[in-house]
Amino acid sequence: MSKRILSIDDDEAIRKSFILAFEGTEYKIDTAESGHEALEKIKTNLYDLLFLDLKMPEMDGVEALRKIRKISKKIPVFILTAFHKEFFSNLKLASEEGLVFELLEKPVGVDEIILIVKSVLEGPQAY
Amino acid sequence: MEKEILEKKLKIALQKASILENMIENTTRELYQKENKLLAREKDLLKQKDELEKTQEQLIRAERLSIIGQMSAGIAHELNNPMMGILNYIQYCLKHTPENDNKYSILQDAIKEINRCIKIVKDILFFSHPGLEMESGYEKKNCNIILDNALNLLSYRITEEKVFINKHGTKGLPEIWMKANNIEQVFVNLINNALDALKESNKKEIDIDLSQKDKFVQITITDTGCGISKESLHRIFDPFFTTKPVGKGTGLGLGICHNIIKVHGGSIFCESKLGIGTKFTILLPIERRKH
Repeated sequence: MSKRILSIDDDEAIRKSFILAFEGTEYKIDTAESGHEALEKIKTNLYDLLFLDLKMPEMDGVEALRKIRKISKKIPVFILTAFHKEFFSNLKLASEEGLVFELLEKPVGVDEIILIVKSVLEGPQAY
Repeated sequence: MEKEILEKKLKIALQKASILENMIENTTRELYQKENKLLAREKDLLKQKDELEKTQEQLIRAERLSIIGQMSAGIAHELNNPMMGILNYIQYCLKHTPENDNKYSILQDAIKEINRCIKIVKDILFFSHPGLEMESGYEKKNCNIILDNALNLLSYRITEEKVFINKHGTKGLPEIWMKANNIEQVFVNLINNALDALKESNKKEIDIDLSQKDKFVQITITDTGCGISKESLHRIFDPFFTTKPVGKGTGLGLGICHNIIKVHGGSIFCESKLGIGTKFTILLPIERRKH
């Protein structure tokens, strides 16, 4: 069965980037434009990996991550960020709370996206 | 009798004149002393006024740079998303364009340019917030080794351009607290700039010296390149100021170097003469500075 990935970002350019990156691959990509929409999708679908934007209106990435972890503690989450300092303290807090995530610096291109997905979902045997 | 009286009166008058003369002399001396004190005081006040004006100038400049930094960071941050979009759209088009199509190389050029934009934005964000205030990542390292790493990175260019590197310094230099990647970035930047300056020079030399100065390690990087004019010299650490041709420099490199050294508790300054060369001096504290 195809591995399923969810991209959560309020910016259409980012959501479209992920759709284009996975076109023609064996991975199925869904998108959500807010933390609320993402939570609804996660409750009804099984995802193997999440890409989560940090800076979003209403519910930011850290708050979304807290709620996601209540539903699934195991799903790998990559937080996309430009490493803006206003979020450092939030990320530090999230880490101290024991919330598990990886950080990915924006902007990121298709090769890097595929590399990350393959290494997380398929491990070294993918190469 | 009259003569005696007159003589007596003259004598008294002369005595009084002498007393008056002394009084005038004393008063004049006092006046001279007071005048000297006033002149010294005036000199002090002028010196203080000078210093105040310089401090005011520095404060205004620091404020201006801070505003530029904040605005740039805001703009750079907003550019990240559209740039990610553009990068991925072009990569997608490239993937679906045959190599023998003449659009293929154009798309490859487009990717080069968007990557250039991404680098500029990363530099702007780093300039405004190097993230060096974070305590983690500091370790004790030898400046000599970091310099050698920087020279290795640039070895191809140094060999190609036939530049002579003369590196020397005090043996047994103490290790210092640093974020090694950032200090290496400073050295790479300065040596790269020196290589740029040497392009048209007949004598192509870079002299690098390391020594201990009291509680600091001092590193000097001197080139025999084209030098920097007096007018440009006081602006070289300003963001976006560059003397390089368009497309060859963003004007952020030295500003970033300055920020890195400052956050390490050190200082960096530059001396230069047009047609002769340029010397950068860096002082880095041996003991870790608290933030």
